[in-house]
Amino acid sequence: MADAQAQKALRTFYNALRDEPLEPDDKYYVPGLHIEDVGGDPIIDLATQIDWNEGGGVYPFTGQRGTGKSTELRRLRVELAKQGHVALMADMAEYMNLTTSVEIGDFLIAIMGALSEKVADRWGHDPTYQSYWERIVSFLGTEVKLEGIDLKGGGATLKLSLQQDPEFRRRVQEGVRGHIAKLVGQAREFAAGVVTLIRRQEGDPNKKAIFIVDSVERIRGVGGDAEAVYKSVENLFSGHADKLAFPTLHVVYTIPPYLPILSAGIGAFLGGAAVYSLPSVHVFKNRSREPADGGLDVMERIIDKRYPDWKSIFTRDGLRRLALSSGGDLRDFFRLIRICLTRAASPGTALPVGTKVLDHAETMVRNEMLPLAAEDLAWLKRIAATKEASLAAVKDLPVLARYFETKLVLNYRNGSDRYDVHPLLRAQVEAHVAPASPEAG
Amino acid sequence: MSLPPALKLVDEIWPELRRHLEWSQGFSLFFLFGRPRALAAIRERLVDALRLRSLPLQEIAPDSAGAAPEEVVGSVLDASRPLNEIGAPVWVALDRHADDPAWNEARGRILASLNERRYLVERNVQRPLLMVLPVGYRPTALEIAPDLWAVRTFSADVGDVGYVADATGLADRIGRPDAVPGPRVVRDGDLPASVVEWDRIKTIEPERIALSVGWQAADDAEEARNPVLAHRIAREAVEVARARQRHSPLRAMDSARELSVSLGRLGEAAYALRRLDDAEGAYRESLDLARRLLELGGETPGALRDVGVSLNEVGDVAHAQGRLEEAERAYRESLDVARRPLELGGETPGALRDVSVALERVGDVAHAQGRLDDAERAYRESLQMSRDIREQLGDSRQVLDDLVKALVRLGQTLALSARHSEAREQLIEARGLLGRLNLAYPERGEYPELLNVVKALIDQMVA
Repeated sequence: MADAQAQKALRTFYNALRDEPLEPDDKYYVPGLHIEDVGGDPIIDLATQIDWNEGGGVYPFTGQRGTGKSTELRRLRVELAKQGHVALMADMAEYMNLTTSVEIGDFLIAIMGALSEKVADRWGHDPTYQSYWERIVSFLGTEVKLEGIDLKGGGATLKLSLQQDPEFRRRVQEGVRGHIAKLVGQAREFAAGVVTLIRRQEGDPNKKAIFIVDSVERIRGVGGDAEAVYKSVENLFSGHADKLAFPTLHVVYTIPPYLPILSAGIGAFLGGAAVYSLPSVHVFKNRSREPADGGLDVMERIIDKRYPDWKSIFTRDGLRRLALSSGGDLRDFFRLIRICLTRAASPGTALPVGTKVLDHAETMVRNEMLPLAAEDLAWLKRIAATKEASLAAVKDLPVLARYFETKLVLNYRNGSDRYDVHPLLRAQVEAHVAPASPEAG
Repeated sequence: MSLPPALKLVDEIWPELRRHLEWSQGFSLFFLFGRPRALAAIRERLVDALRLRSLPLQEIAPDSAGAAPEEVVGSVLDASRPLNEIGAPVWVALDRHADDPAWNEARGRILASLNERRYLVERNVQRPLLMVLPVGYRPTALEIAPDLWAVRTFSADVGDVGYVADATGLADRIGRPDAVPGPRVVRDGDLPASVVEWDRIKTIEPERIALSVGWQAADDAEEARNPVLAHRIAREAVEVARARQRHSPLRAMDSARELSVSLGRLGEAAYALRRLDDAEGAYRESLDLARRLLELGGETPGALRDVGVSLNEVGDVAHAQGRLEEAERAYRESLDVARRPLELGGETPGALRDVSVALERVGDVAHAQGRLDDAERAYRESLQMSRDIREQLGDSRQVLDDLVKALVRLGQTLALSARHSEAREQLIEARGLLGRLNLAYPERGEYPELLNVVKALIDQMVA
């Protein structure tokens, strides 16, 4: 296809697929993306739970990359506001180094620092209110007396150093280890102060305050440190769960998708809350590989919103094929479509695009996931057969985490969690034959 | 282990990459994995394409592994000013020193650090960001930087170069083979490094010599406007290739191709010195070897291309000597050979260009013989192929050079047929493209000169 009008249409469609978090009133927002066949909407469920609970609470929230977590957390904020509550939200990537081990001490400093900034952003400076950064600098300087750490730069330097300087962070971790009880006490006191301030600002002594802590699920280890980092995350949410709760403040934490598998009762540690999970869109029927019309309709609605004239470029079957090939993962779905669009602009390509273009897009995305090691193929084959994560030993957690991160495995939920290999890898996984064991030889 | 995906040719990747680069708005992230030569070819096309849009390419290419993490991360995060506004892409060159542990450490730290700061990268870099990494590095990148990987726009494993840039100037290429260039002026100055290296190694045992150094040295000498030196080096390379052929019977195919390529270089050097008989001798021997290799190895795109190129060269000498029928026979055979890869492997830009070049030559002979209808037919087909290549590759200097060349040829032929209105249409398009090239490449003296020629042709038709 060569004419300028068609090129412009392809380009417009391409740019309508920009990958960024959406507010619920955004023209591209599609409601009901993650509603389960059995009926629940995880965001409404979570908002309802928060609305019911009094006196604060902890709410773990999880989901793989690309399932729309950041968008849905924005919806949660709006839903909570509709219920008359105040919800603040922070991206922890701005406050923490996400590739080194986390401990309760530095984690508390980071989330309270973030809360402090969000309050200041919303209501400006309040003379009765001392920022958490000021408080913690004073605490670290007078009570902890950190060796070799210069805090003259105040809160801004502390924030920056915690985020960007692993050695600084390690020293802080070491320094505060003997002062955790005091640190927790201070954090609780600060959080309670924030809730008081919010109630005063809003003129409502019963106002409920919620803090949504995003991107914690992105904490991950690299190379030799991987196991230690994953262990630190598990320890944070199970071993120190009680310290993550603050009276009067409701806190939603995003947690890595492997955590509920590792610690089946993670919600119980966190005050009995259920783990709210945002799965991939259900393009397959429960525990099967049969196409599910409901999920496919949702995927079609997403594209309808983004580019209503999509039928001039894809047949309905073609679009549905891409939806199935994405496994319900929105980023992969958009990526597959974008590859088709750039290919459709090549000379001689007819519209709507045919099988050759769809094949090309699938090959491109599949190739990005290959090659797979024999050990990976064996594990993936188990997952494909059982629809369970099949984590045999805790030491294998970094491998499972990698499967989730790279989307070799996708998570679905319909009443209960299930897992399956990425649809574009099924052939490779199914063709894998385990090598004969030495004993057999 | 499942098989890794095959590396792709630059020709296959560039059209798609170009569209992603041109279409995407704001932050977009690209991962390119490959060998330095192939990645350099991508970079060259990108620079060319951007230049024609008056855009620069911001390059971040650290020199030392130790300083690389700080330099790269700092530069990427600081990429907001001032090039964000115009959308100039950022090219982060981390593909060199693929096997060096210190560089691998640096690459890992850079990716981990940028991954960690993804929100800052997305916020600050409101334009395409290309992370350029060694071949085979993809699994490592994916493991170290899953957050960046998750938001990638495009990734590719780049294999080989493909559509090879033509170093010859447009003015030379518009000129037909009957206009043999005179010996060029020898330029003073230092010898190119490749020439120094060739002089250092040329007398050691032939089996130990990398002939590619000699070919490069001959090209560099030619580029430095020293055809005598180029001829001397090309002759020496032929001698080395003959010795290798004698000493390495087990590598018969390889050494035959090396000799064929060396003879081709010798023919070019002799042609530049107007020693046409010598040129023909070298070209013919090169052609014989290329034909034999085609018979032995089958119709691979490379083997077909070698035969096609040799046929064109043999035809060029015949054309320059006025033996037009002989030239036409060679060009027509070259055209048939050039069409074969299209039948075998699809319309890649490289394959299209080979056909386009062969068509031009067929047209040139017809033009010289006064068969203007035949010339027009060949030029029109050649022009269409140049347009197809432009659609696939986008605008670059070479793509536009080829298009200008095809338009001027067709325009001149139509003018001779007294079809002035059609001729004007072609020449006006050529004038527009030359105007763009002249603006984008002010340092190349050929464009103003050609622009004047084309303007004069248009004026003549008005008169």
